[in-house]
Amino acid sequence: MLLEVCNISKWFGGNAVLNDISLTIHRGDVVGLIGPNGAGKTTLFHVISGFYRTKTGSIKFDNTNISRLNPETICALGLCRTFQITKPFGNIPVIKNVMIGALNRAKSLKGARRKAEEVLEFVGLHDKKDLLARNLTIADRKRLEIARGLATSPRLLLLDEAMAGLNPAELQEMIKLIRNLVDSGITLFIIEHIMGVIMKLSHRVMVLNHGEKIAEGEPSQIAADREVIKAYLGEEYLIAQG
Amino acid sequence: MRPSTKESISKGTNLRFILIGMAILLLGVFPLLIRNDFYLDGLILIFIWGAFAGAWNILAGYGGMMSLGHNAFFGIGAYTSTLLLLHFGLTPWIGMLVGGLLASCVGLVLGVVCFRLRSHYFALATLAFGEVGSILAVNWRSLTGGSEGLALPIQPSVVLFSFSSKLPYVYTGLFFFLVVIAVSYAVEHSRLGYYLTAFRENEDAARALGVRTGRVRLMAMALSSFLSAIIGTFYAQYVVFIDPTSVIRIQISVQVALFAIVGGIGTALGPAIGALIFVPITILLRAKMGTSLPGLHMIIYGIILVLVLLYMPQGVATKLRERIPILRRI
Repeated sequence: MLLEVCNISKWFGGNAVLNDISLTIHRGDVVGLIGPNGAGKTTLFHVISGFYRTKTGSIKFDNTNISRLNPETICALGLCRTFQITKPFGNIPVIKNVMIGALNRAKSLKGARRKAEEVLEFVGLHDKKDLLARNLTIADRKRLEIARGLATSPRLLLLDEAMAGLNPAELQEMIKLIRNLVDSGITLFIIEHIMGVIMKLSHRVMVLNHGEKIAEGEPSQIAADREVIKAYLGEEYLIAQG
Repeated sequence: MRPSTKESISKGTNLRFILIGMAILLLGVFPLLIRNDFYLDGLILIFIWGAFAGAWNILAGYGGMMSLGHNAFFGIGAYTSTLLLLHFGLTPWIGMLVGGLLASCVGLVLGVVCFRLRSHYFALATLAFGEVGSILAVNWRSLTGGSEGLALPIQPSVVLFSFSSKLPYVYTGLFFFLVVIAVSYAVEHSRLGYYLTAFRENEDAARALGVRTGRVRLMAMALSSFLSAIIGTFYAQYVVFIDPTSVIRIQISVQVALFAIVGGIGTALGPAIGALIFVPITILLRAKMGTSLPGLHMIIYGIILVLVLLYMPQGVATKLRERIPILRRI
């Protein structure tokens, strides 16, 4: 078991943003996390990656309790996350952006550069490696997010909406990239809004609504789940369907 | 493909060494050609302010932490070595290191307190810190002599870091100037420099990638304050008289920040270039107009500053790099 989250809750003031969430991810899994806007998906990523602390429950990564650790330590242990709203290091070249990620494992700058070149080749940004990151398009920024995360050599990578805001052509490219990631055997935990994509890519899907896990299972089961349909399309839809 | 890239890299490296060697040689020989003490004094001031701006740049340029309290570190350096010399006869060469370490310790405490604050708030907090240093220097009369200042003994000797002519000061100044540039260059091309840049650009992203931003910033603070204090000692040894106005007033921090920003913040050579441009302008304007048209030199100084910042907001060094292709290879 690579990641084991037990009974996590997160409150902001009087609002329960996450309510008693438990989940497990095994090595090699590709797990999708879906849910309507405001369901708490990104909050869950913040909690797992150490950006938010919770007092309740526990989070174990490879049998280490990480619920009290800060993000940098968690990354060093091999759990890395990307951001939905991309956060490039804008005023430095793309290659340096990725090298900073690679320094998480690399012993030297030279080693980091080698790793960064490799990763940039993989995500298809190699020909733009000398551009300043702020000059990248949205689609390329999303790639850069993934590249930096990959460069840290994570054992578990959390992808937060890598496909949001892309046009159809860019979307196809991104799907290809994530499919390549899946094929590379890396363990992935993916937040995604585009159902068709997540259903095809994931081995298992989890659904959040109002901070609660309302369903979990194989993609085909989830697509037929009454609770999930209700959460996404409303009660009336179910009634109309009979 | 591969061999050609390698070749161009080694060519770039050779070119870099040749250019650096030439620059150092030029700087080394140049002072010998100047017979005029007025110009030698200007040269020493360029080295002092260039080195100090470089020290400031390590924290503010690479790490994006705009400190306005560096006057306190400069003052700690000047006062520590001077007091150790006056009371215990300790050579300033060692007093300099003591002052540097003391400034580092103070810097670390300041860091622990102020690193919670971001951008403007950090600048304001450090400004207050610098002001406290200045007030302490004025009011702690039993230690610092207050506003009357402290006069250093004038007894030329290498051991006591005191010389009868300007030339030895020029070369020690040049040495510190080059050391700060070399340290900046080393930082820029090290893990520390990459991490500082990552913090400056986006803290959350840096942490998500495993950058220990707290530790990295403290290291930059310690290094930056250490070097600032060393330059402070050198300044005291050169001017042989220190008082709160000359070594710890708040304007010193502002001035150093300006040199670095105008020259090119976040680059190894930028602060040096900033001092190279502005120190002579200041000296010449003051010499030519200081008495006949008092105040006018400050206005002209201000106009030049505004023009540079309008047309080269990234600094002169960055602009030169864009314009002259050969510099891009360095």
